[in-house]
Amino acid sequence: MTAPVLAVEGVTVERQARSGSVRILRDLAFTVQPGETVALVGESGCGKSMTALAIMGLLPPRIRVAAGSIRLDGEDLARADARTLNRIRGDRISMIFQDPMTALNPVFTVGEQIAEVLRVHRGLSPANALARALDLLKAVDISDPAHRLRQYPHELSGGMRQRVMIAMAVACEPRLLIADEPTTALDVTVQAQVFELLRDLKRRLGMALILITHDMGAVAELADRAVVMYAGRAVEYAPVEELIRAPCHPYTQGLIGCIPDMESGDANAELTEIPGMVPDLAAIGPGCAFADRCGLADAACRAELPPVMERAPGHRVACWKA
Amino acid sequence: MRGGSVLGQLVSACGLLFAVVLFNFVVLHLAPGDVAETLTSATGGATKEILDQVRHLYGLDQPLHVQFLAYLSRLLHGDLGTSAYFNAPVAGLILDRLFPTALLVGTALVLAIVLGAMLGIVAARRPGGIVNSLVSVLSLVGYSAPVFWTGILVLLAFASWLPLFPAQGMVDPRLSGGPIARVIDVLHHLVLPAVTLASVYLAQYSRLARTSMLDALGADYIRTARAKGLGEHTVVYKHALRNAILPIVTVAGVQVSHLLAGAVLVETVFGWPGMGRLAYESILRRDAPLMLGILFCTALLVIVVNMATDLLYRAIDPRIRTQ
Repeated sequence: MTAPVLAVEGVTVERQARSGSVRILRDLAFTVQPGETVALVGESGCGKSMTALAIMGLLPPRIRVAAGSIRLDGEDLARADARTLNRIRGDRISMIFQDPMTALNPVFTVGEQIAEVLRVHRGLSPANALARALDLLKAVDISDPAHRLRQYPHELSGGMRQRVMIAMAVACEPRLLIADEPTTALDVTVQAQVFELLRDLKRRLGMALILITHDMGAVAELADRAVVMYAGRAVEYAPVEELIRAPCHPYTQGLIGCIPDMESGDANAELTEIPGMVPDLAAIGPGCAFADRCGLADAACRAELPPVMERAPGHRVACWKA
Repeated sequence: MRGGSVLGQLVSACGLLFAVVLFNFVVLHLAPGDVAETLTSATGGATKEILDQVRHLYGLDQPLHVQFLAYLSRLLHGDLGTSAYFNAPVAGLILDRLFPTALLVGTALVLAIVLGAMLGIVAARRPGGIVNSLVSVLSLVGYSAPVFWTGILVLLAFASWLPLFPAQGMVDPRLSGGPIARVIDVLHHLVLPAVTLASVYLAQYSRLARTSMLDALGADYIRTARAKGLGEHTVVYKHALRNAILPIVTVAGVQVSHLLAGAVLVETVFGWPGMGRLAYESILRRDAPLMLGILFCTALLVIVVNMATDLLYRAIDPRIRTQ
């Protein structure tokens, strides 16, 4: 096996509060191989986005990495200073966000915003950076790119803005791109186009991708491996094909049960749902966080935290019942 | 006004100006007393015959609508009339006072905006810091203290107790020297009134700058800027400040009119020979032509400043430009 682009090991993230600290991420571990797509899956509030922000060094105030390491090509980002992070961000690792409507600065043109990355990391002159920005807009299939370059974000549709975000993120041909629910705010037809673009760019640039989503359909289509997260913990970790065919964790089984099966043609086939709600992170007991919503849970599940166990090569799960 | 074409704005500005003239004219003539009474009382009173004579001289015996049309017609020819008290053209009287007021108000505004913005930005970057507490206290005190009271305190402190600055006027009449010495003398006189006038607005601008900077720093595009690997300086002073400045420009445009009102008080306290004091004196003397002239010029100034603000806003906010 080659050296991973990203190796997340034992990462615990805490939020400091007056009443003490709350663990938002708990002993998280996964790797991303060069050119690979890893999906982070789970309901809102499970810590997917927090994981991305921790990798980028963009955690909000009073939230910090309390333990573990985040290695990008061997360099630990969790311990890097601000200067080092600024050198790496936007160059070797970049990120696109959920809402393209607000992620671009309203007072600068699209061209200026893309060119800025190239000027900072590549030291290009303003004219050269702008010329390169034009190439990038072409690369993300934006119509009339020369005109768009001089436009402001509010003059573009949501789909186009997300393409601009992608152009900005891949400007320096990063080793790793993190896409945090990149299509959630977009129309369904545009969603497919954006996924197609991401797949295409990934192949052309050979970059690795972390795709954060709650859309199991997108996971099945795009990802090589998936990390299923629940209440700040990775509960299952497997190649996507295997995860969908034979999910081990009851929570993963629940998530997969929520996907409508288009191919079977049975419109009346019942969709299952996971009962209950995502628990409050501050009120999690000593046992499995999913126990209260799990049909299989017993007293042992609530008493002790299930360790992450290897079920098959590359397939790990944290469940007493699996 | 925002959003319309420049031509449309000009048309509505003319309409507004006409309304201002009409309103002022009517209100001034509704008030009891006229210039004939003040003029004659200065010479120890007069009989009804003399009063009528003076009123005839100034056209005050004509019906109000005739007086108004005559005034409007002169105004359209660029004639603001003659001051009854000074017996001199109103335009010249105002022009003499325009520069001191513009100097005072302009300095105060720039001082308030620049200093306020700086304080606000520092406060926003360290929400728990000393500057943040300072801004809160300053806003409360500066905003609630009446400007003439602040002026008197400033006078007591820096002209009487610690005589660093002159207490009254704009120039030292005893001064003999070249133009550079004169400029320095005016600036020396300017310090106390400008600081006093700025104090009220400083409080507002520092608060406004703090709020809009906090908003900007919390925005998604700031997270994007950081994700691009930009340095803290670029993130704050390019990406955040450029957005945070927008509300400040809007408020500054609106406040020029408030500032002119504040100037009346400050000019009175510091004996500053500006338009505000002229207005105050012309009210006391029932000098209707001068009063109308000052109100007209002030309204014109406010309208022009508002239009300039609009243009400036278009230049700095692309979202307005394309609408």
